[in-house]
Amino acid sequence: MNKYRFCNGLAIFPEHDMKMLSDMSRSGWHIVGLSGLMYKFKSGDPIPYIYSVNFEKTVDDNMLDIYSESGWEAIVLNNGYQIFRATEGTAPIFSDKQSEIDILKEQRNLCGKGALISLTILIVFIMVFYLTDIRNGLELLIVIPIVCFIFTFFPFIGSVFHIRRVCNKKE
Amino acid sequence: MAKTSPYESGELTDSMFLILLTIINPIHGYKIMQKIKDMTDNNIIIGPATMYTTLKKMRAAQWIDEIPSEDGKILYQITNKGRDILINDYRKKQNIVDIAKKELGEEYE
Repeated sequence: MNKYRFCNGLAIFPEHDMKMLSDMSRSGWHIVGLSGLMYKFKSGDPIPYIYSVNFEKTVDDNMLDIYSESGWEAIVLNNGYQIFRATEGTAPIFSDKQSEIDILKEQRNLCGKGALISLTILIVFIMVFYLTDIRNGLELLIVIPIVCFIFTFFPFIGSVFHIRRVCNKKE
Repeated sequence: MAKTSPYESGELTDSMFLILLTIINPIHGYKIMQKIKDMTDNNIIIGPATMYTTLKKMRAAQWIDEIPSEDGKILYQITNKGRDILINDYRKKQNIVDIAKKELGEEYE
């Protein structure tokens, strides 16, 4: 049997989602994947796993060796975001603020650029349709820059706040 | 929090300092963490995300080299530039400790 839960936005509320995954595991539902905006869970024995997310741009074997050596198992692996799982008491994936901030800044800059580009395209789209009489269904293409903007702008805002939270965290 | 990146200023965080110390001889990425644990009597544990990002950034700054090994994995080794940075930072730390020793006196030894 499977269960599904909505993703609350990994980039915006990562701690919130990781706690939810942990609570699910405690009640015997373990995440097996993330497709689109839904986490997929399979039932099993209740185990108090802990979860962590990271935002590396690319994933490779070398990186996975380092995680598994530290006791963290990869559950979701995508370029841009990865979710790892470990047993209770495992040392956290980040051991200093500097490295965590470095990664978040990379993510912030990438998403910021994406948001800016899609916003520019969106404005050009709107101007073209406003200034001309082209109405042949092509105007529906405007959905593309809107979607791109949403999926870059919110992670951008998310990483800005995330960086601030990490900066204020006590070491 | 310093505004400039440590990869530009050469002011090493503790993790960066320890990682550079472990890769004076070629070593597998996943073995570095155990080595640091051993070196520090289990007092310092470097998380995998910190480890991987730091290695990546150090490589971009040309402080370390990646050498492919026979089993298809990557070995890391410090470069001359990395060694200079490490020794520079070591002297800086040594200097500050020497000053502290003088000011605090023997009883804190």
